Amino acid sequence: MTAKIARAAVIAAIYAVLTIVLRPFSFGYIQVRVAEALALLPILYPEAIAGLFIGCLVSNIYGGLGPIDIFLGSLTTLVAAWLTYRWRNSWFAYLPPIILNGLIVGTYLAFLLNVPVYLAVVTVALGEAIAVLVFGIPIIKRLRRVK
Amino acid sequence: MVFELGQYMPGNSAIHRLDPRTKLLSLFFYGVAILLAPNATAALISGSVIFPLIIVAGLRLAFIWRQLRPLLIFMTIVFAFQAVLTPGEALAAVGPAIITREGLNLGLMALARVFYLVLAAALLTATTDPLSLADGLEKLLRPGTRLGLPSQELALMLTLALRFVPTMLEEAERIMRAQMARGASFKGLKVKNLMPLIIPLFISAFRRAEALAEAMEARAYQGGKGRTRMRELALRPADYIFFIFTIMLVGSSFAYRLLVK
Repeated sequence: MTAKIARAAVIAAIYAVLTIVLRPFSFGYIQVRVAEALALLPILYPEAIAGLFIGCLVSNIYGGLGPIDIFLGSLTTLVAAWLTYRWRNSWFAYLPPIILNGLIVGTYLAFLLNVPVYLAVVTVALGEAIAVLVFGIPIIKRLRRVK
Repeated sequence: MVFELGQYMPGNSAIHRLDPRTKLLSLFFYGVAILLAPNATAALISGSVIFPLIIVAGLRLAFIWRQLRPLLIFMTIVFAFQAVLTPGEALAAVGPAIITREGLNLGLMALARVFYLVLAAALLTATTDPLSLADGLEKLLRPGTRLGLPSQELALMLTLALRFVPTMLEEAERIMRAQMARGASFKGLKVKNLMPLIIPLFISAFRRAEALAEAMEARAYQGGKGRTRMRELALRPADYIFFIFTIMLVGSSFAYRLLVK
């Protein structure tokens, strides 16, 4: 169990580091949060579910759009990570972070910033899709080799 | 690349001394109050309760500016977008774009929301040291334990993650320099550029995790159950008073919304 806790903690730290280093791209509705590429990690490591949740929580506490990002954004990541883990053996696993973040984060950002819902949902989902499909899949492929 | 997660400003103000749970919950309800405000004026007024708190906490203007600066471009885009694209009574025209009264109101409201929410989060992180933040979150997650939520393990992960962020940042810089010495480039967000950073970062992080797990085993860590702690959190009268004010803010914001509509 200690090994899992430790690994979840470093995954959370990497998530926070990537979000904060690439900060200008990471928040708001025109966002490509490269750290979200890690959303696929539950495919390889179940403990990444907790790691991603904590990582998202830390990044949002220290640099998000405040309370809503902290509570809703992190919970969305948690649910998406769990679904990715459940569907880890099929390509379905790529979808939860894109769809859930697009829908939930897009909707509350639209409400928060008074922009049309469809616009915010599409842009968030697009940014998420870039992170997950373009950056996430190669990361998983390479990590599978070194695991 | 200068960066510190330590936005924490040590101090002993009334805000510093509040229980982290009070601050976390108040942050949440403050956000709700601002979102309930039905127009720009109401949002600007209800949010302004944050200013006396910032003064009491003794935060400098330079510190606040540093929190808001990264969001400047984003906020400008949001505001311009609203002002121009909302149909309504025309006020002024900039080239082909027409600025409307309704647009100005919506834009200002969005601006006020982002401004206050970021300010509130900054106030929380500036006056609460990361360890007590983790303690507070653990206590707030505790009721979830019955549903199978490992609140203590999550809090430990949070503490460890906070501790590892600076280490990982250093590591990321070292890897980037090492890769650049071998001809890699880190300009632009490209897969080809980021892989030589991310993969080594993972490998070194997992190695660190292994060492950490061994250290925990050696110290006989056996899960959170029955652990005692050095600092016990306790709510004081000030916490209750602060929280009552927060609830009053939400209540008045909600009441005003009902009245206006």
